[in-house]
Amino acid sequence: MARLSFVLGVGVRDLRRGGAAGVAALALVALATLGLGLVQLGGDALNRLVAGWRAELRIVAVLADGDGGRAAGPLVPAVRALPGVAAVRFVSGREALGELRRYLAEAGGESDGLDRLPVNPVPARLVIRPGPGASAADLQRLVDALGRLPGVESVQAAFGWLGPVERVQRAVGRGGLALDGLLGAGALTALIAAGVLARQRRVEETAVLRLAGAPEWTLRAPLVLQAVTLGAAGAGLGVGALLLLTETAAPWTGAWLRTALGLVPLPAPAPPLVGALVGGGAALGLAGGVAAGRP
Amino acid sequence: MVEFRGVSKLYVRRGGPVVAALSAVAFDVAPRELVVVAGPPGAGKSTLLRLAAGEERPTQGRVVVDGDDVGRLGRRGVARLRRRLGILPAEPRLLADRSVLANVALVLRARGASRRAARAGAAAALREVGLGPRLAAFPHELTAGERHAACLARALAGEPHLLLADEPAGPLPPAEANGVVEALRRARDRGVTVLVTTRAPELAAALAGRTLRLDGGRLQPAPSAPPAAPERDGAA
Repeated sequence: MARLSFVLGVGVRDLRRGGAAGVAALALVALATLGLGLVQLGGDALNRLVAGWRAELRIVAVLADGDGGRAAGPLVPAVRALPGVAAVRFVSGREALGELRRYLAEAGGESDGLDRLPVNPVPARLVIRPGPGASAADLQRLVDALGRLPGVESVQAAFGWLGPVERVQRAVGRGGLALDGLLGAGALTALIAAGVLARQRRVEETAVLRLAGAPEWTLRAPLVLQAVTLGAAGAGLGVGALLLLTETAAPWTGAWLRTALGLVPLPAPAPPLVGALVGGGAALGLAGGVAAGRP
Repeated sequence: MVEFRGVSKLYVRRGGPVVAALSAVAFDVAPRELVVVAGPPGAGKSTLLRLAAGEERPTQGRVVVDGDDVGRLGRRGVARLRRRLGILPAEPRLLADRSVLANVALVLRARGASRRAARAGAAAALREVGLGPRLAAFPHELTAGERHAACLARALAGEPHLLLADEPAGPLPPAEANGVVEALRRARDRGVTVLVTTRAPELAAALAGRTLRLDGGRLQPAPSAPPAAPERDGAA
């Protein structure tokens, strides 16, 4: 217990000895934490937005057989068996005409003319909802497979936007992580520098303590303690800034995100994310402290 | 307490000559004995103390201190041994940003003493060397002699089994050197084994312990009569 209190005392002195390097480490860890949190929350928001768009995505397989009722029987199970299909709904020509009539009415257009037509011009179709994880390439394969099915005259789908969106998602994830890796490396360097500086500033004290028989761990542990404290405190500051952005400033940032980027407001970081970020800062400090204490 | 058995220490420098700091040195120091190793500069006195303190390993032979073969000790073993030793290096320094009391208490804290016990032990050690009234002073407020005494107090704090003192009077004037001599003799009287090195024959005589002559890394034959008989009974 006495040794632990001694190590704590030296650790507190080391925090002061770290000086400007310690402050720089604190700031860089905070920035890296904020960056990582924003990448995580921004990525989540983008994923939710894209998931919403995906949920509305439908592929329409227009049937060749007029009303289509006869072909739909064997066709529905065949479509359901295709990879990437979440649900299939048969829409007869009559239903499709009704939907068109409702759409025109809601749009304020003239729909009475439809009733005067000699035959129903709207073909039956299968409305397919793709699986939530299907990529643009998966959807293209599904469209091709649907087009090859007997009884399908044409396939309509509008997912051209999905490829670019997927690339943006990847770019956001990778770019954010790369930027954060740089910030993290900078923070680690600053943590090591703060530890090395503290070690240099107590070189005489260490010599005295070694001669007095101080256990080696009591000479190194304060450096680790200093770096872990800086790492955890920096991460705490970063989380605080993240909370400020997502909670306190949400009315402004939310409007900006919606207007400028079309994103939903960033959610507040969940406790596991907060724990992971602070733990990550402390782990970065642990690595820095161990490196600074190496002979 | 201390055994040197055929101890040699060679320093090999790349491309340079091999320097023998010590050659086949053999002697014993009994518990509670005060032994002075005297010799001119470069005789190997500091090397001898560094070997005893585990700062270096012998090239040949064995150094046994308080039951431990120092050459075979690992880092932890050396630290454990040093917790039983008091070491006064040739150029001792106090930490400038701490009071004299805090300087001495620091080593006791590092050895596992509580804050209160460390301060009490440090204060007792400082009183022993006559620095009782200067406990709160900072090193820059002390005279050279007081700083030296404070370093001696730091080495003696915590009642070590063995005190290793390299030139304990240093460059002190005779009046202040007398204080160091008194402190070393009192330590011996309290039961601390003392091994001192010095280049000053008058200090060796004043300490009134068994004197060994070291020159060119070799122990010289003892003079016809030592300055005083060794005191092995620890009489206080």
